[in-house]
Amino acid sequence: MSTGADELAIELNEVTRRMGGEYILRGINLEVAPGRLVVLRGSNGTGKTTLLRLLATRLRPASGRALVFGHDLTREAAAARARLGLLTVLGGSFPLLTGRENLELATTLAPRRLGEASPAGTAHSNGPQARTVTADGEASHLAALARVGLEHAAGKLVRTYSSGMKKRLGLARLLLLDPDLWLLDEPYAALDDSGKRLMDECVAAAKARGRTVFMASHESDRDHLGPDAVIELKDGILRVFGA
Amino acid sequence: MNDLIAALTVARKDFRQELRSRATTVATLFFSAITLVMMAFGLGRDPDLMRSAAPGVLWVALAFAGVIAAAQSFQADLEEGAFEQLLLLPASRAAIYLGKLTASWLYLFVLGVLMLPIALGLYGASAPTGTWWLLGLVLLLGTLGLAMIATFYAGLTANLQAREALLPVLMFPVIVPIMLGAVRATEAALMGGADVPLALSWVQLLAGFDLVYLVVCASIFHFVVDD
Repeated sequence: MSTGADELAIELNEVTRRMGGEYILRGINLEVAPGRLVVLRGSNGTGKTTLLRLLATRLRPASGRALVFGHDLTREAAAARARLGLLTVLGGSFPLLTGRENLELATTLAPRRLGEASPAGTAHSNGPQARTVTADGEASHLAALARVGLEHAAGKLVRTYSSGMKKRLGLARLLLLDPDLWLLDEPYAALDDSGKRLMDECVAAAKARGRTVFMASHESDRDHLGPDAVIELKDGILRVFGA
Repeated sequence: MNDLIAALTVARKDFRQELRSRATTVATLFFSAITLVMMAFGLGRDPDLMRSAAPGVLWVALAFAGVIAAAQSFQADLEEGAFEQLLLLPASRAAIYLGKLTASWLYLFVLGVLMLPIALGLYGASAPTGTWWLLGLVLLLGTLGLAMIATFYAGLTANLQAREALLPVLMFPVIVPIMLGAVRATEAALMGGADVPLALSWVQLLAGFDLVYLVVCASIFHFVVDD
């Protein structure tokens, strides 16, 4: 996966992480160039979520060097956070806010970088500056909800949503913020067939827009997405299957 | 990202959540009222003792309410990983802290405004005419101090299994200066007349503690919520 590009989307060098006194990640080395789609596989409990949370700056490496777009995840976590987004298994939305309010919260606290979900449906060129847009916020929130099939539930509290709807709402937030690095933790979990197709479309569109997608997934039947690499995490060590 | 907008956004979120669940409102209102009533029973029938105990009992009830309000605020956020998602957005940790503090503070202040006349009525105390503004100021600064420390420690213990037990254990020793200032200022304000300057000096001390705690808590909140 090493491309020799000036700035790698992900660069991990001998990264370790302990959880409860046990090493979950043992000297992870990984380089992912911008615009690539990488699928991470591994059995339950092998550390896939730990690795994703580490990349998302929620966990610090115990040792080693971890960079996202050149930003050190320990010393420059805020700069790294501005360029990444994480879709968690549960969707990560506030249950006592409506779907639309959850999106409003995210777009108020994060730079307005509307990609596929912008009302005009326009994709934006690479780079944070180029993707700052001034589209009407309300319309963009509704557009994002419509894109994931939640327009009918925009005003309902998230606690009334099903698991699949919560996952779709998390996807809508990702579409709105459209970060340079998409971190997806089991993105197909809880989704029905149409939801899985939607996820495929959004991942493919993100890649087409030049975003980097790093996805932990058990769904081996989604290989038609054409990942640039499939890697496996086993016993805290990465193995690469294709690049 | 404008930190002020971020803080107000987080505060508005907390208000919305509370308006919909009313979990904190119900718990703290009843808990504070019950504390006032139980302490009144415990103190006996001596009217002088009752009157002199009123400020202390009021602030103890508000301190317990502060624990419940702050813990509930984080509990609502932790469901389904929403707080983690909030922390992934590029808003500063200080802004997130100030947002949660604003919601807890205003909530606790309103509770204090409701509990003050109840405490005075139950304990046979009264506020001299012209000192309500001073009592309001004491409530404003005292509840700010309680909310600051409660919010900080609620964030610290949010992910721990024994958070209900740990939060008051960690918080109460730290709020001693706030409690001391608030109780003494309330006592002096209730005396009125020549004691008003004394009340104002306690208010100044309270404001000083608040400022120190605000700067410290906002500055180190990232240690609390980040790995």
